[in-house]
Amino acid sequence: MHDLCLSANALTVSFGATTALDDVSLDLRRGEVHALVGENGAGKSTLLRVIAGLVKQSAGAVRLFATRRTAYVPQETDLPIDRTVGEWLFMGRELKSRLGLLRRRQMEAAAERALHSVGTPLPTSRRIGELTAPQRKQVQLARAVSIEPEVFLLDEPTAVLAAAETTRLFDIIRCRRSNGAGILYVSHRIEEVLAIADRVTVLRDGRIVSTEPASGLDVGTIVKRMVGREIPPHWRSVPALGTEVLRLTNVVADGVKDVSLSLRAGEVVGLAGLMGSGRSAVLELVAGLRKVDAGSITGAEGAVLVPEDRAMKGLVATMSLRENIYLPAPSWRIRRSQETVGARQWIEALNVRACGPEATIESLSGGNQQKVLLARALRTKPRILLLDEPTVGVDVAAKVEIHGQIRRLAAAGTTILLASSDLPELLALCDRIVALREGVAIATIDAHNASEPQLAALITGARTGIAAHHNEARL
Amino acid sequence: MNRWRAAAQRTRLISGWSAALILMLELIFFTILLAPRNGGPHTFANAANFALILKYSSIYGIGAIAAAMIIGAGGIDLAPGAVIALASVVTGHLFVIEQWSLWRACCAGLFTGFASGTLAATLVIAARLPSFIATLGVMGITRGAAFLITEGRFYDLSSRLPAATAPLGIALSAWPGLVMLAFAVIFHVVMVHTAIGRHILAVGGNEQAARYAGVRVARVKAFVYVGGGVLAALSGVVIAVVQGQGKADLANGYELDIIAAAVVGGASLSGGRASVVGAVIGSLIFGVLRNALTQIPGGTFADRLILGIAVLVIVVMDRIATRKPA
Repeated sequence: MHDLCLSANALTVSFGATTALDDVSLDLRRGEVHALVGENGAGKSTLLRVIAGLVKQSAGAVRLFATRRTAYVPQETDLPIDRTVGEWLFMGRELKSRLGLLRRRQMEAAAERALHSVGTPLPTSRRIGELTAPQRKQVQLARAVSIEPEVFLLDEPTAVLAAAETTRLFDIIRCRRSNGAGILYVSHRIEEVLAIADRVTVLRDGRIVSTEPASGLDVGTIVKRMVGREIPPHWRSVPALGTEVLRLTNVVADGVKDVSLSLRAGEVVGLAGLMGSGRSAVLELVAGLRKVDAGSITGAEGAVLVPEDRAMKGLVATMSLRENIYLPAPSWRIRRSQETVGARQWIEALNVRACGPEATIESLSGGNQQKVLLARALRTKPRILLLDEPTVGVDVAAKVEIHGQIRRLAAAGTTILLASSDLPELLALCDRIVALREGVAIATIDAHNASEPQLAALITGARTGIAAHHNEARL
Repeated sequence: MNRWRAAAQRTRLISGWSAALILMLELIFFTILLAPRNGGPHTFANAANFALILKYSSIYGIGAIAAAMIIGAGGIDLAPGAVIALASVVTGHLFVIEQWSLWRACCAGLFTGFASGTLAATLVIAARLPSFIATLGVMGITRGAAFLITEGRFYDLSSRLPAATAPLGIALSAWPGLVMLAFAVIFHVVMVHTAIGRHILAVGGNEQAARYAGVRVARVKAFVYVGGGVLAALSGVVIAVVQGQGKADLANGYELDIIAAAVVGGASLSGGRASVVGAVIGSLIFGVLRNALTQIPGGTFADRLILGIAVLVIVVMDRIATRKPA
């Protein structure tokens, strides 16, 4: 049989009420590249973290066979910015003399060799803070490769790499493979996966859909398996379009390279894109929270943002539910009794499960916290509502309620710009969807007769041959 | 342990009432402890002594009002001690040496607080310095300015003040306490009943969320730091006039007592929680302690030690009361 270097058996991981991995079993052979693909939130990164020992599973087990050298390269490149490249390559495994002093020169030399081996001859004395994202990624890879791993865990390594760097990475991966290492490779770039992988496992909603040799797969099949849901009929026919209320023309800003879009009164427009594609940045630009470097935004007055990260950007945990709804305070004088009445009305209108207007934020579930943020935005009767990931970390019941609320608002004539990584959510709620890739609005599609694979292909840049092109560039 | 925690939670140390409770217990304790053995007059519990306590506490108390707002906004102010000194020096110099009228000299003293508060606000808002560093710098600058002006001198304001000076018909010695109580009421209303108060606590609770909600964060910070400077200067002007002295080494190290008073009064150093009334009560707790210890033989030597322990005990109790149930 195959010579295994790792096997994961019936792994289940839960974060509070959400299940990130559900009964996942997977093995990794010596001398193979095993790819993991799936949508955002399918559980790919969580699986790698469990194997790397960074997340503890609630059930199941991971077995490593006679391997001590495991290297994990996370997707994030947040390395210690004040350390030098050389220091980072040996951080936590410094070479020491018998007196416990650092063998600096020896480490410098080894670091140089490691950088050279991944084709990145950076000076080892360079501060990590001065590196670009691709350089940091290569430093991460150099560190991992330098321990000659037998189990090599790579999470989206090519997300920040250019084509030439990707080719070099693939050479490294093939080299490790021929040395008998097992490589677990997570990526959303399906063509790349098919080019490098021996076997492909598709994950969806924390479960394994399939594991099979890459030779028998094509992009279309994989995308279909990643998505794999029945799409319900759209909630409304094409609405009677009003006048244009918001227009972005060739907007350039931090995180946004070229975005043009137009919203008509009463329309629900979605922003689809991968992490870092500029979804949130566009909403923050419209809300006036970011500076526009070039291009223009017209009609953004009266736009209210419901931000994405509830804990960081949304709620003030030291304040009550009422105070959070009435932030900023509507007038210079606080009218507490009026606020209490108002907060009660919002609790009722949005079906917030809370003990009352003075409930603490931490006593509320994620879904109810989201409703508090929605109440804050709706209190000012916004002309344009900007929603960023309105249902992330929200339980299913609350998600249905929030979707219902969005539909009611749209039906009542509020214009909505909705950013989401949840493609079915976008397809279910929006009239049109703008696909963003690396800060560029690449296409606008009609959500009424779009499909999830089509949208997935657009935002990942996979050329599936699915005809999205005739819908593109309506602006 | 759990039941004790629940009981502590019910007393709501954070609300400021707990500080009031501690003050009451403290007063009762010292009234009993210092009760005269032979039926003579009570040396602690008498109106004149309480007036004295109020007078000396207000030097810290006025600063603690500002400290509560700054800490509530998520910042810290290390400058008030130095600003108190500078304001007293400027008032004294202009009144004694330059022969300005008392009111004009006092206004000039207050202006130094406005200027140092503006400097701190600029450093925090425009230069994005952490408030600790910004106000540490302002502390050095203001204390240094005070020494530059005095050149080792000491201004004796009382020499130019008529013996029976009583502005607005109120005896000079009653002024510090009245000023503190008046500003406590004003800023209590500001913190609890106005938008700026809510925005201060929102910025302290979660600055980014406040910004995303549309709170003008820079304006809120400007308010608390400039307000902090002016209130500290007010304390300095009051000392200069009431004590009749202006000197550069005045109020040395008071910033820490002021912060301690605000924290004992319910301000959370991680921001988002603060009580102006609590801060004033906090400074009264320390004022009573200092006053009573002088009446206990050897007590004055123990005063710093006991104050230090009192701060820790009160804040630890507060931590337990507000800790999340596991």
